[in-house]
Amino acid sequence: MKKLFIILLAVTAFSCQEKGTESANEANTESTREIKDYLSQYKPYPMDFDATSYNETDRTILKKLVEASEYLDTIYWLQTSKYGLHLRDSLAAIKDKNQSTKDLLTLVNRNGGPFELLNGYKTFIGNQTYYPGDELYPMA
Amino acid sequence: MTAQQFDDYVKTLPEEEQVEFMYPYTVIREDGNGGYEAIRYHVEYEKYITPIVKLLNEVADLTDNESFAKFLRLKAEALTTDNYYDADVAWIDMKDNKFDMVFGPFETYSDGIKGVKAKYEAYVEIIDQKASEDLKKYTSYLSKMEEHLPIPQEYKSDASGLTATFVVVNDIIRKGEGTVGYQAVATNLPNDPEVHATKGTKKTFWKNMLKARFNGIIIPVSNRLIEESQLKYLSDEGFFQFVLMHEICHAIGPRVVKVGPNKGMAANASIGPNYNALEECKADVTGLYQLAYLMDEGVVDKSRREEFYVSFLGSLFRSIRFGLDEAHGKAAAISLSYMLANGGILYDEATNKWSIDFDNFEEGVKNLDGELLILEGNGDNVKVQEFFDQWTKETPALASAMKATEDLPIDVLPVRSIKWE
Repeated sequence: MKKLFIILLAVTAFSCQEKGTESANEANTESTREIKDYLSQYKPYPMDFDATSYNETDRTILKKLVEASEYLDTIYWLQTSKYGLHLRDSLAAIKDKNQSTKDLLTLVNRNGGPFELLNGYKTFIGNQTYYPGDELYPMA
Repeated sequence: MTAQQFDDYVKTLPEEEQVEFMYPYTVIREDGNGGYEAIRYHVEYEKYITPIVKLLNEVADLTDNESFAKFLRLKAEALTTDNYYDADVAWIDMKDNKFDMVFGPFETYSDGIKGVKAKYEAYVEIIDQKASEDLKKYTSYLSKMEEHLPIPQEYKSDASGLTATFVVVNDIIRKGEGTVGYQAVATNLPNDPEVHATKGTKKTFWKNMLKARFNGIIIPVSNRLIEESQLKYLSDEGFFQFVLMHEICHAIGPRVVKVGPNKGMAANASIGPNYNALEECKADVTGLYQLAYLMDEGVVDKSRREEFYVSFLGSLFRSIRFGLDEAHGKAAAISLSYMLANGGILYDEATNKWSIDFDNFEEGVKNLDGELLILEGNGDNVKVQEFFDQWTKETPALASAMKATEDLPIDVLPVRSIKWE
């Protein structure tokens, strides 16, 4: 239930990011363009690792270290943006993602939240403004 | 909560509580009574720390490398206490290990309130044995490189006691803070001053990310700005070699003021905020100067000379895109403008293309390096500012270079995959 709510929230926020007087469609186009612009700063670069030449023990070691890193990743998001974490998980859970959803998810992941780090923490999704204390200091 | 509110509140606390509030590994929460409390990370994030600890201990049981096992066990323990000293020391002391990792809360630069709270990051790494061995060869030359610097004797330092731990790795995954913002290609850790004092630091080079940066960002920029006949010399290995030398050369040259009224004072304290850009430029240019020396000594393959220099030139065009107010941007502008005026680098206005003047480049590097090192050794910010005013101006040539590349990507977006079976 909570997840569904957040997805709706995210999609609504995505659609209504620009002024409410504009139609949802126009606003959506504008947000999509903004997200495309931000994404164009980043060059996708394949970084593959082939573990098959390692023996079974070494592969198990690496797998366990990767798994430990995933838990650590969650802590990072809890330190940085709980809203961003929900958004990430909700977007990731959407089946048959269209291109805009994929782009949005990429950008959320690349920034660890809804703020663009290479552009002075500008909000690209949702209506939060960046708070320099993240989740490490109370907002009030 | 603002920094002011934080300071005002912390002032009212007993000293041991003040330490906890400023500790890198606590979060600040409202205490429910109108005040605040500092909670250790291992308490706040216990749910996720517990499985991590279990996994690290399991890996310690699996590995046959004792130093790696020791590090893993100490790291697991540290994550449950937030006292990292022993784990950090064990990390620097690791020997003959195949795998390595940067794992835990380290960097504090994204704490926008006090700049003290560390965020978690993870890099799982395979050590590049050959490159790490080569590095040892270069660092054994530290004293000789100091002696070889193109400056008068009174500006040189005693480098005989210099030791540095370097490791070259390829990371198979990055998580947490390692995935956001500019993708780091090297790091110098830990940040704990106590470890610095007793043990030093360990410098990690992520070779695969260096190559990604070179091929994904520097090549496209270079294709637009470097003269066509020299494009063939661009190489990620050449760039890697240059970056290694840059990092090594942070360790040589005057770190304290050598002459005048501030003699003996730390150069960065004496010079102030301009020091960062000056030191970046010094590491670039000293790196090139010492690379030529190592080639002459037969330590580095001299048939790759053109590769090193043109790849360096390409990397400057990435750096100036950060702007002439930023340390790396400023450092790049100095190298370009100084060697354009004094020899070593050529620019063709008609085509907006740059090239290395191979006949004069090493002489140009030597001259510029001498000036930079003397500026550091004098520790006089007035002179540094004069030098910057002359060489970090946005000249028409630099403006054209920035304009020609403004639509290109500025950082890589790693697309990761691991083949297990």
